[in-house]
Amino acid sequence: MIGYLVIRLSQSLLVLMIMSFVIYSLIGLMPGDPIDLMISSDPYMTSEDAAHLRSLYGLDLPIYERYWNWLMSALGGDFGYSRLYNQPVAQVLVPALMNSVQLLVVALVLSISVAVPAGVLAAYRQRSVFDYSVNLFAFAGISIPQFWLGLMLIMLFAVLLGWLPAGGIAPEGAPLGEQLRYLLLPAITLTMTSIGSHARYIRSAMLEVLRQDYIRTARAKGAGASRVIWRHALRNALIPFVTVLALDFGFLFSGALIVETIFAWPGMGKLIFDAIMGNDYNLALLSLMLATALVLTGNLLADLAYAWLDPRIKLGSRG
Amino acid sequence: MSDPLVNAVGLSRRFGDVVAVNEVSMQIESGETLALVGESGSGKTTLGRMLSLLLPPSAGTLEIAGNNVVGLSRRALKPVRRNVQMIFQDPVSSLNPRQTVANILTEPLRNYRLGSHTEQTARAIELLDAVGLPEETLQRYPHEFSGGQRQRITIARALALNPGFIVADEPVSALDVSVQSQILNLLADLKERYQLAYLFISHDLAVVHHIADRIAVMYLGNIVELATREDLFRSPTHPYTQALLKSVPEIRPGKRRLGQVLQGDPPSPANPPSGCRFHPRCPRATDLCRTKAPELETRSATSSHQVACHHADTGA
Amino acid sequence: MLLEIEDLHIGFDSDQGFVPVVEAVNLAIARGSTLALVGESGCGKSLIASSIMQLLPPFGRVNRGVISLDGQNLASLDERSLQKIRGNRIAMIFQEPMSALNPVFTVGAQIAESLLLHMELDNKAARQRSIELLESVGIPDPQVRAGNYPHELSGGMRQRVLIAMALACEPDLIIADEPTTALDVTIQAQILDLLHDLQERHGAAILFISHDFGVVSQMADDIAVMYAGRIIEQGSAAEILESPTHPYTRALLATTPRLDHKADRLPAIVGRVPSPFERDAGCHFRKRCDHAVAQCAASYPELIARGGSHPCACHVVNANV
Repeated sequence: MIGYLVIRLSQSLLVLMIMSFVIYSLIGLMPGDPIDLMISSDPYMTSEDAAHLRSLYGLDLPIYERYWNWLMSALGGDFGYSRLYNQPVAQVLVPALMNSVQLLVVALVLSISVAVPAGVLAAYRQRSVFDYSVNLFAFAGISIPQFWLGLMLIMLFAVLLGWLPAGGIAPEGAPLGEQLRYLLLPAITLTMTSIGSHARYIRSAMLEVLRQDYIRTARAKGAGASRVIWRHALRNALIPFVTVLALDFGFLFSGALIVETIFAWPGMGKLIFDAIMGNDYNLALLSLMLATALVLTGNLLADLAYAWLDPRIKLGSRG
Repeated sequence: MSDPLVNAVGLSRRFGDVVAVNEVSMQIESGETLALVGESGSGKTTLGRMLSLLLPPSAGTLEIAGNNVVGLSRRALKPVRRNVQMIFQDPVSSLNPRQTVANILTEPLRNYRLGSHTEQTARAIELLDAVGLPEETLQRYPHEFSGGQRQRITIARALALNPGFIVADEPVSALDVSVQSQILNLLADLKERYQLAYLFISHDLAVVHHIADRIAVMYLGNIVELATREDLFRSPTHPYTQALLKSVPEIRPGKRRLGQVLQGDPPSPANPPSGCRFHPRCPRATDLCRTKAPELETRSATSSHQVACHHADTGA
Repeated sequence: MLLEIEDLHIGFDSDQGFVPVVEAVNLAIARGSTLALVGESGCGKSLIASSIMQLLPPFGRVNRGVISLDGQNLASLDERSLQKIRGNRIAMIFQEPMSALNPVFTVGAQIAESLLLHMELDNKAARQRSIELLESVGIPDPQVRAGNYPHELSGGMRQRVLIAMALACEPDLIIADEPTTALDVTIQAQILDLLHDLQERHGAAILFISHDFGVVSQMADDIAVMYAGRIIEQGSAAEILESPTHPYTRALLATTPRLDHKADRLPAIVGRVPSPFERDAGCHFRKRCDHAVAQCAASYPELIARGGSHPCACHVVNANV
């Protein structure tokens, strides 16, 4: 088990390294650089100034040299300075990351706690009104654009009813109730898409499981419907569902960008966007790498959960 | 005596550490039915795949109609494959549901570019007739037929290239009893008509009792007994063969126990016992059996009955 | 009689109306005896087994008939009462041991579940009892095995586990639906002997469903032969195996490969079983029967015993007696 974890972590580190180079190059390939931005905002800058600044920042070096310099200082813990925020990158990132994780976790928990029971019951009462409603709701959730939904929710709950704030985050140290008020609308908007697909996935996984012979055995033993569904069936249906969740981890992260922008939620999504548009190399690079790390973590957790749930799977066994 | 049609010497097949088939030698003459009998883990399916050229052996030699077939390239094997065909157990999955029967039957002909389109269709009708199916079958799809009819289509396909040797892997196991005999009789008729040799793989000794000329009993990768049908059923020598025969229930009234036939479960091929692979379950096992694996040998100079057992002369 | 089935009709609804699969079936099983239900695929024997437990698949329904356990009509019971009977007074052993066990629970836990559902036992006692049950079905190292998952056991052992599970609450009736069909023949011999011993020890009645006359010979006191949804012949094992009267039974026995008959070619039955959609008012076997006469097309023969013989559903047989 330890051996397996060591291997996986080393693999993940390797992927991160490779990704850092890829991201660095991609950002570098974008036309223009910070000096161009400076030029456009300062008409008095001369080309000598520009050249001087470029060599000062090391922007005249070839890309692999620049990458190498970055890598060396990164390994020493120095991820550089954010040009946009004029602080060390880590200082900018950490609070934004915390905010994003907060939003993501709430959205995920919300999604699972609604989708799983809905999917289970829809499968149990296949072709009933409930089943069709769940299906309809799922398609609505997948189809409705997040920005439209967010705006509609703001209009309804913040503008019309005045119950919830229209955006932003609760101030530092605010009580839990206050924090939830700010979290609620963005979390619901973020969840909408995934609730639907999760419910449908659980439903089809349950339908598949309910057809299996061991369900018939359980009923023949005299187990009641509740026991058969929640104990015998769901346990098996969760196994493939875990994979779906792992993939969703990454999607949720990118979906958060739109939601964070609409609700002015100071998270990673908005940060990445601003960093790339503002050509803030260091910030963009580190935040994209964090996104990669989150996806890798999600996958590792999914594999571990898989092995925990399904006794037929042995981690690290050869194919 | 002419050369055997199929001549296998020392055939082995491993999958990683697992030895599925362990140095098996056998010959099949043209026009004879050799039955290969064994339970799960015996290696009979793997041996069947090697003899039908679907799986290359890990070791040993194999000759079909006098030509070596081991280590040949795909291109070199192609002409040999015409002579060797296979019939599988599951009539549902061995026919492509998206192909019409006409397609299924003419595909072998198209692979070898034999005949024009009209000639191929004529041949397909001929094949259907040989297996007792009407011409209308051509336009239909496999799912429109019953298990027995589908198996007939499989047999017709196997005959398309006029092979001399057919490997039939449990061809009737998935069929109802009332249909089994139809197919067995069909196979016997075709054998006579086209001078075919069969390797008939089965776990069912009763079926084999009716159609085999010679029988090879396999256990955990080895042939433990090889004899003519009469010899095997009249005087089974290896303790495993005796246990197999004793396990087949007779059709006579009287609620009864069979008594201790064979203890334990078949061991897994991944971890075979030392010496004679059967010794942990054998009532006659001695120290010799635990250390030295017996060879497949004839009991006497005159008979063709072969057994792999240190204590073959003792016991019933 | 422990179990009585009267005039059972099972089928499903389709565009063409109700399509019967099982028709007019009457069966009775006495305490402690074994009744074998013999037939080929599609004859409806598995549906009968499911319907006794009131566990028909969603598309099937019982159209007519009464199934009684000790005189009590099972269809009249509510779901809770039925759950008390399933696994407790009636237990079932299925065909595919590979898939009949839940892959994510240990076998010990699955056996213990039967005990926890029906017996007043706590977890510890149930666990202990499940180990004892594993031992009683001949599984070596039962304490270790109880913690194994199904995929860690061989097919024969899994079937033993299923038998242990079925016996856990000492049922009055065991329904065994092709319990050895998926097993190797030497393992089959062990399992059949085991069922035999357990019946002697517990006194349970067995409804043994199979297509294999050899297996049935070993286990049955009485035999009922089914064809295309109906019972066409029934009697004691001796009557059916030694003096079968119905043309289907006789043809089936003649076409079954046996070690004690030597023949190079077995007499085959032409044609195939008609599907439920292809049945008409006449005898379902007549198109494959050598003895069919005009009356066979007109009406379905009654299952009656004539002249001291056992019940048979054939116009020709019953007319000649």
